[in-house]
Amino acid sequence: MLKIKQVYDFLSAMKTGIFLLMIIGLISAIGTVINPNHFFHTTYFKALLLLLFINLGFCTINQVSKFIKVVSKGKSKKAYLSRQISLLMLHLGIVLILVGGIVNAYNGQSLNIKIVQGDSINTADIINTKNPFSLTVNKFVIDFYDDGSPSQYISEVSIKEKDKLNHYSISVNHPLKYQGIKAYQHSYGYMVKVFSNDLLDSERSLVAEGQTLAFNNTTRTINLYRYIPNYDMRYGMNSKTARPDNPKIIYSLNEGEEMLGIGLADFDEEIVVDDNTSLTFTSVTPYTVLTIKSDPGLWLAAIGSILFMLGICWFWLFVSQRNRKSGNTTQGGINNGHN
Amino acid sequence: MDIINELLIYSTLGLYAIAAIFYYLGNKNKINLLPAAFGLAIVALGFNFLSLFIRTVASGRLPLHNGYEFVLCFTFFTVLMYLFYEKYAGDTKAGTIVMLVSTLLYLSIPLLMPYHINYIGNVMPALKSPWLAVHVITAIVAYSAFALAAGLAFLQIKNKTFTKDNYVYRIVITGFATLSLSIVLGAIWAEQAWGRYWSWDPKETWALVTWIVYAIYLHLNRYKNWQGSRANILVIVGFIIVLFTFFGVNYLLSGLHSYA
Repeated sequence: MLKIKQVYDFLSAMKTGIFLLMIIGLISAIGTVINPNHFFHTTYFKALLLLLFINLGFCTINQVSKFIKVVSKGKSKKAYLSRQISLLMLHLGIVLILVGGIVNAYNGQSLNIKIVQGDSINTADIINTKNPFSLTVNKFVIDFYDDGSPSQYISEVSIKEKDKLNHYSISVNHPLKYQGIKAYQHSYGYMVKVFSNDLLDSERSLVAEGQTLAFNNTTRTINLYRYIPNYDMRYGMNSKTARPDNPKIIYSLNEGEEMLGIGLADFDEEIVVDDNTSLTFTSVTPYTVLTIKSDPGLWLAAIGSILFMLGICWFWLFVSQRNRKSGNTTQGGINNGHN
Repeated sequence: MDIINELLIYSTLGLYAIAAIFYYLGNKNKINLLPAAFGLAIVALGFNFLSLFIRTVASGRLPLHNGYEFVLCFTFFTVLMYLFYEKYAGDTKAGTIVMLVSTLLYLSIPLLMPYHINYIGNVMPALKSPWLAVHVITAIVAYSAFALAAGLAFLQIKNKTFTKDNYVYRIVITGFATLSLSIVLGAIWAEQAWGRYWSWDPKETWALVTWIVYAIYLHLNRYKNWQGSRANILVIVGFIIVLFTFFGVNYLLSGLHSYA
């Protein structure tokens, strides 16, 4: 029994917590420089966070029981109460934020999904959900400033509910909340509509950037490299702005592995592939990328963050800024004063 | 208008530098320059405010959207807090170092972002949120408090007297509380904008590292052997990390916070 007590004491000690914080801080700093995308998802790092969580949890439990003992004796001063309650609130807040994070790590789901304007998805196909629903992207719109820079990206969607069709718009900073799921505007792109007298895969008229088109009567192929909404020579293969002021399509004509040439086409401009084969790019259709997310731990993190903010503000304004020179030593608890 | 903006920036820079020199000479007790130093700092602060005011009027929004605007606010609050401290604590000793730090902060404008002095870009969709103001203002107050605390800590270590430890502690708590608010408010905003409240983005991670350094300072504060020079070194280390979180992350590590 003594051994369990020793382990508990070690795990709940503030010195252990400080040490863990130091290690986590040091490793995080190194992680941002080395490999930020993978580093923070390694088991070692997660184990460190878990240890901190255990330490903080035990430490908070100790402080609560100590607090109850002192208060039940009924001799505690107001300053002591104020100090202990604010400290407990902010530490409990952090514990709850970490619990929320753990719940999210095990039960949270988040996926990016590409939906072409006009298409529908069913949330049941993307994530596990009790209340699946079907979402249609009616339109994807970019609002522009006068200079052509984007001011908002908006996906106009509709969700069928029983016999009613409800319309919503999802834009940056304005996610859709529906049936325990959130949908965020993540990014967007374009599909190019092609017309040809000779397409091998005649079903395929919407082509994504980077795809290659083959034909029946020739071995030559067309690679659709990129759609440029606002072409300007000075910007090369990048669009000057996202606004379609001067739309062009960059493509290459190939024979097997060999590239015969690169072209810059307008919409409806006929591209001669071979004697009997031609092709035109007729228009573009945008697609939107939505992040579909469910986070069952979010409410815990939310309560935790409110407790944390209230606790820390209380401590800052009503505890720490008292003039400690007047010698109001705190009873029982931590004493920061050294004057 | 362009010339006025530039003139204002360079005069403010010059005034902060002269104020630093006046504080230095005044504190050395050669001549009584301290009232003049205080006056110069006030005028520089006024010029700094004027730059912010003109920018707010010209852009029609709060000046909290990019690195340049952040530097203007960061310096403004650092000097403002110092001047309050000087009057409240009756201590002019930190004037030299605080004015020097302010000068260097302002110097980063012509060195790293001269283009921004007269350029007001449009607000990108991700930044169009009511959370922006509270997230950035709390960060500015935190950074400024850490700057002032580091100035006082530096002076204490240099002079090997630790009579201002109580002030350092209270200023660090102010920075720590506002940094905490900034991180949490930023997380709430990130949840709304990106769908994740924490992404281990370089800015987030370095803000957390900063937070950890000051958290350690506050926890160690009760141990007798951690008071004095060790604690003050931690306050300075914290501010160096603050500077890296701002300049280093903006210019060396790319991530979700690339708005500079």
